[in-house]
Amino acid sequence: MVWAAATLTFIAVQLSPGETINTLLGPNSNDPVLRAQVIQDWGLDHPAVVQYLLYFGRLLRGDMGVSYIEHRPVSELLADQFPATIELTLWAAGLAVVLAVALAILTSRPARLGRAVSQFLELAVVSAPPFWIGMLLLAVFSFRLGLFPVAGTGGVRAVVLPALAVGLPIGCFLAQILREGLDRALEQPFALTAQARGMGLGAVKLVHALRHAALPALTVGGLAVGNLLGGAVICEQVFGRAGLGQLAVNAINSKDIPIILAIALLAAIVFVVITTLLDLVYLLVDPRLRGQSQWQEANA
Amino acid sequence: MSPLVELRDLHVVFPRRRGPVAAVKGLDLTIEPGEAVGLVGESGSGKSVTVRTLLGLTGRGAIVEAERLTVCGQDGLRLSGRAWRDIRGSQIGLVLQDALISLDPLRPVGQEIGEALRLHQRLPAGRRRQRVIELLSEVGVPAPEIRARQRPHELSGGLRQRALIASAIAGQPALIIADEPTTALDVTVQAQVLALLDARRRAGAALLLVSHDLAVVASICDRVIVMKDGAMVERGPSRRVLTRPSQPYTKRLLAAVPSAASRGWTLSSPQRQPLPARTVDPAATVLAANGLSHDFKAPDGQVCHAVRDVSLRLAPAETLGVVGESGSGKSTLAKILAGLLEPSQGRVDLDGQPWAPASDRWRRSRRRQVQLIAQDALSSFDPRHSAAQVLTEALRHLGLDPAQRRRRIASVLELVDLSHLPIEASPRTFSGGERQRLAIARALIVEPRVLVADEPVSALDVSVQAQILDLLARVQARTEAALVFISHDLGVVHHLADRVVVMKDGRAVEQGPADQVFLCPSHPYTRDLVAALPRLPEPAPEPLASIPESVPAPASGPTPRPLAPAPAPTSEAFAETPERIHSHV
Repeated sequence: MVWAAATLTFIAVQLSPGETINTLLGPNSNDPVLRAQVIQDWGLDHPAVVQYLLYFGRLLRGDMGVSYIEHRPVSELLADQFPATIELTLWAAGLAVVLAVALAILTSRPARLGRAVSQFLELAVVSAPPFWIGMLLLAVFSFRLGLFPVAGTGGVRAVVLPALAVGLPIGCFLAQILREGLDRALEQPFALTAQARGMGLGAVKLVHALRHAALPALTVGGLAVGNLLGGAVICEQVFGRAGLGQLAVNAINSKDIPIILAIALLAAIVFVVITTLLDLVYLLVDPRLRGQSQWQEANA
Repeated sequence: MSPLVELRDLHVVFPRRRGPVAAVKGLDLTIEPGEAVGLVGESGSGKSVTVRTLLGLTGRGAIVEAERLTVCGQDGLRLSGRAWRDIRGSQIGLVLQDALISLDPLRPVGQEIGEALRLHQRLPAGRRRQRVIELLSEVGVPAPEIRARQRPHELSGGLRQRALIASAIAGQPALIIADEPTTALDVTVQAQVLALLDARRRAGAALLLVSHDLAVVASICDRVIVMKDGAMVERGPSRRVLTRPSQPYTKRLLAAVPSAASRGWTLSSPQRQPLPARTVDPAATVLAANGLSHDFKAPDGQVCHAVRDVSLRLAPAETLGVVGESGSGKSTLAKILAGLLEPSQGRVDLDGQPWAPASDRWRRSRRRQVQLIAQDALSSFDPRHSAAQVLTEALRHLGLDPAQRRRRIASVLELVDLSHLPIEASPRTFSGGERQRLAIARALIVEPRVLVADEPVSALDVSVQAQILDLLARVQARTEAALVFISHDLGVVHHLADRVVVMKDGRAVEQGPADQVFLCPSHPYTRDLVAALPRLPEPAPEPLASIPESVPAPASGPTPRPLAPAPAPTSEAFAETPERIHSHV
């Protein structure tokens, strides 16, 4: 799949209107020294097949080319921005999971009033535009209460609000899925058996039902995390954070094709890693799938 | 000693959107220590709600009222959640149907049993693990150390039901409640599980056995309570209730149980009437299978022989019963006979011409001659189709004009007693019996020569089952279609079939006339099957006082009790008087 993504990005460059060299160079394509360098880097004086093999060979060595606008290697630029993205993703994901599990456990059967209130709030948060949540959080916690910094990247305090802005909607969405799964699991005979053993309903939810409810939530949650790793553009803009999203936006604005290609490729790699991890976690959560593991590995 | 359970005038009401639903209406129930009580009734009779009420788990929003609800010496109407949890598991253990879903499918069975121990006994972890192993071997699970680490789907039906029982008795409860504990099990496994429950009873625990199956209850219970629509219909010592019932409902219920004694007689009418006769010409053949085999490739690459070298023959208007336990290859055989699966080896001939293996083109023009009736009628209908569409679709390729179609539909609906039904409605709004009638109507509407019915009554209540079995016998006499009737239920097959094939591990181990196969089985496996079958006590004139202290488990009986010879006319007897065929139609 990574190979397919790499090939597609290569084809996209080849097919883009105008000469390939102009595409790669971006706006400042008149510098003859740079032009010569690009032709050498990308093997543009060779046929397309050779260009493809050269491109692929460089990728395998971890060389994603040079940004001719920033005048720095692309991999260096990515390495600068990726930690901030990972930091935000981990915080947001952790927050989303804690929120989702707590909400689902507290508001699944037989809770009634709490359930209705929670469902309404979840719907509101899920439907609200992310930048609006971000601005609301800024208005309350930074401007009014001054608890957290308004913008910036360093430190734990700086990541709390962006993580909330990104994690809240994911958490609420996951809570909806988890609660539905919990309700369904609690209707199963094994939940009755567990209660008939003398287990409290809360313990039944935690020990038995949650695991059954986790499977569908894992799928959705995993993809959401994958999305975040690809860069949370809007959130980074609102909070003035560094990150892949910011990098991508800047690259698109300045038509910095090597960076855009690298980010697309990175997103593909992230998704492959995430789906593979998910498949492994499925096997841990539901051992019944182990009999089919060969089939799953073949698909991954 | 005071009773373990004392219910007086129990009412349970569920508030629903369309108005309150009364699930239990005025039930009295007393269980003394060490006693085995049976609770019998059809679906919707309130048995399971009663059981849950005894555990304080009636369900969301349920309104429980009773003059008295004493459970283990405490007032169940006033118990706190904490106090209920102390009773559950330590004083009352619950065994549900089908351990595949009644034990947490994601956890090893040992953990489930350990959980029951952890909740009520303070044991160090090592001692607890040891106790889990002890419990598993107590309920007869071989290699308990290995089994404890396996999950329900890795165990056979019998082993996981044993593990479920082990988890219920871990707290050594004074009362074991078993709600349909053997319903999903094969008959030989059922006998073992019933023997196990009976052994627990002899060890001192009281037992409340809930079942739709009168024979299961009869096999181990001292007293029986018959329920219908939430109310008690009849109560008394098992033997008395099941041999000399006083209430019409109990009589109907007992009369509806198919068995050797009911052969040739109707099941669904209060007084047994002879079934309409069929003319079976044993020399003629409509469907003949020779050396059928079918192999599957299992996911792990192993070849699985679902059917091995099965030969059978079917005469017009004849009923051939196919019995066997789960995994015996019955359903695969049904699919091959219905032309839905190509045999790996062997052949099937229909009216002397090849039927399978055969090209689809060749078969398609003759498809209507062999029709399949499935267990779950509803899922065999297109969910978007109305009843009328279900029938019309079956007629699509016969080239009839609309008037002919309407006539055909009207006559088939009359044949299966569905004329009163709103035919434009979805089958989902029908009852289980009506759905199965519609499925039968769909099969009959194309006037087939052969019907292949795969467990057609297994999901139905006994009284509905009786109606469907009567219906099958009636339409068969009228249409002279041959019937392959596949079932795990020996009683049903003995009631209905002229000849029987017994299947085990894909092979037909025994074949012959029904009476011969079931009354004097020659193959050891058939003998095991027949011996394991729980039976209703025979109506005997002996005094009622002679109920033994503990009824021996059915599996321990060396030979089956001789069944009363059927006074019914057999199909052969009727063969000489074909003019009677229409007398009851």
